[in-house]
Amino acid sequence: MNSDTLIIDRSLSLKDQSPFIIIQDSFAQSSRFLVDEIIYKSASVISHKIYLSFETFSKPPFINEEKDLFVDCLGLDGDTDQGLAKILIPIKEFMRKIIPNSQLSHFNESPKITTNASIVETLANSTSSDSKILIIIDTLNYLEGHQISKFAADLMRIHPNFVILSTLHSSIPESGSSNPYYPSKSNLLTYIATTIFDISFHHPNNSNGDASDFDDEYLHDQYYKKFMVPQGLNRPQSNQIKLSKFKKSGKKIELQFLLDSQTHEFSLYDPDAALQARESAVVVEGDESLLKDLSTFNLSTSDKQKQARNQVELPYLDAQKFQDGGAIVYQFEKDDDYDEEDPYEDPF
Amino acid sequence: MGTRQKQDLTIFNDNSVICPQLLDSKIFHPFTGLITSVEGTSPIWLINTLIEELLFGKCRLNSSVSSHHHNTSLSKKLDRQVTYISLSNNLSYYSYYFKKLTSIDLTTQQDRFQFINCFDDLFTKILKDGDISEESVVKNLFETHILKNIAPSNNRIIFIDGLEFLVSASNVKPITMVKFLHNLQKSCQGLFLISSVDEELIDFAENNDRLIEHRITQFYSYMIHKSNFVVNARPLSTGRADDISGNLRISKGMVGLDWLLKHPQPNNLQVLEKEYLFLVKKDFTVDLFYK
Repeated sequence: MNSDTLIIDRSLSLKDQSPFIIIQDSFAQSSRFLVDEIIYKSASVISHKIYLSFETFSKPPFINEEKDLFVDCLGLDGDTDQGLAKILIPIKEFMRKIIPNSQLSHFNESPKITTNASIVETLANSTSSDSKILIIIDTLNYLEGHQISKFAADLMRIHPNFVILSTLHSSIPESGSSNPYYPSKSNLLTYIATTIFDISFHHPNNSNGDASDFDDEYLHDQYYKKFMVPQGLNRPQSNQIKLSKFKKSGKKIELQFLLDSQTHEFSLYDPDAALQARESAVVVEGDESLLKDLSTFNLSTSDKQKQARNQVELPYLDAQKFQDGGAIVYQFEKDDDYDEEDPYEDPF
Repeated sequence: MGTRQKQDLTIFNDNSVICPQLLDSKIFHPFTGLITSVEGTSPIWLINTLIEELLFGKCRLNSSVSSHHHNTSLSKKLDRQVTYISLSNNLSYYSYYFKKLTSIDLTTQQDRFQFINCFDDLFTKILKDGDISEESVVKNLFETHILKNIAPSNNRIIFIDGLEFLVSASNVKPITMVKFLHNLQKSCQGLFLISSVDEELIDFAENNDRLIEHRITQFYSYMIHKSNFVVNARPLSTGRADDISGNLRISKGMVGLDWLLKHPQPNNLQVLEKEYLFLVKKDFTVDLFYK
């Protein structure tokens, strides 16, 4: 495992210190596959899960009735400021329940704790466990930009071991803010988030040059112009993910990888190399197909011949070694009649 | 088209139109299906087929026997309730086509078919004095006229047709409509959203929430991100034809069916993605062909 795959692995298994993770998805590939994968890989470091749902009131199967918490946020009017405050109440109650008995008794012994702020502080101080509590928010699209930053801050204040994993659907149009200079949600989140996963659909046959109907133009035309959903999208093995990690030093790491959430395997992905491979595959296939069955002679090129052809160093490659613009490279041959006294004879 | 073989309509990989497992509240949470169409390609035959399938457990579309025999085979009654909420037509419209398709009168099925008419008196009686403010729509239409009239039941499937009409006809925000759907879904085991898409109004670049283009695009997008499966009915892109009425595409929605499972157990139920050509004949019966 090299350093890049190690970073990806640590990001998926939540072993890094990254308290606010954003997944940006679209209609073509849902974030749910990645959420499933993170839950699977981080099982050893996560003690409890809290699912904050805006899109559904149905508890997903990975939320355990006793160990975890599910909050129907839209049912609590979670799109309003008052509703967001209401969401915090069950979370705080749940935290009171899951704190170990000794710490809980310490919490109960304190008679002065009456306000929410002081409860929060006590809870934060009373835990010494290293295990993390994962908060999954199914979408931030229902919140305004200013609500997101406040809500995230309120959640983080409840417990220092919270890790927030939240989705933003990029294929839902965002309403403009009353302040024209206020950043869009996706812009704002790049400042707040410590890790961003940008997920898109990866066609399984892309590397073979078969983009079929799934090129970006086709997808764009179907959804953004006709509101039709193309078939074959949203597959667990088709996650193409761009990982952006923001370090405390201000350094940003960007990596791209492909993830199969069924087999739980991932591999690094270089989009430029993939594009090049695709283009060359198309050209070679085109040439070869023209020659096929044309005559009884063998007109095709074998892989070994192609390799040998690529290794031939052509003269114009030498010319590119000069850094000062154009140059003429001339190699004298034995029959050349070179006159040293003639100024016009010198090719340089 | 005469030489092509007629196909059955299937939405799920167990070759069912609506999988009985999905209707079992012990196994699955309530599902959301989205049916979209454009002007000129009405999905009324599809809606009627779904109602027929839910009420009688089978549908004439997938039956090879003649209509007379089929009538008797439909006599089996299931313990299911269908509620149909319409903002685009009244009961006589649906029952007329249902009778043409199945020879059964929907108005005689009142014990298990409920129709909530939000079409005839919307701006006169339901929204009193034609008040189209958000408060009025939420209180008078959503709460009083619809939600209060639906008794929550695990056997209930709800269809809501033409909700997008409110985006242009009232001041209700798309998110308020989504919240209404959220509450509506709590009364049932499945929700079908039937929506007519006006492609001229789809504009993802617009962000002004006063403009209908932005509001309607946002509403459509919210719905698709909530849905478990999507059925798109569209006319042929090549123009009108005598032997084909349109194209029907069944695709997965943004929420996989595995997320609807009540308990973490292996379940292979999936949406069967397919594309059909459909022909609505003069007697209102429909033939389907694989594309």
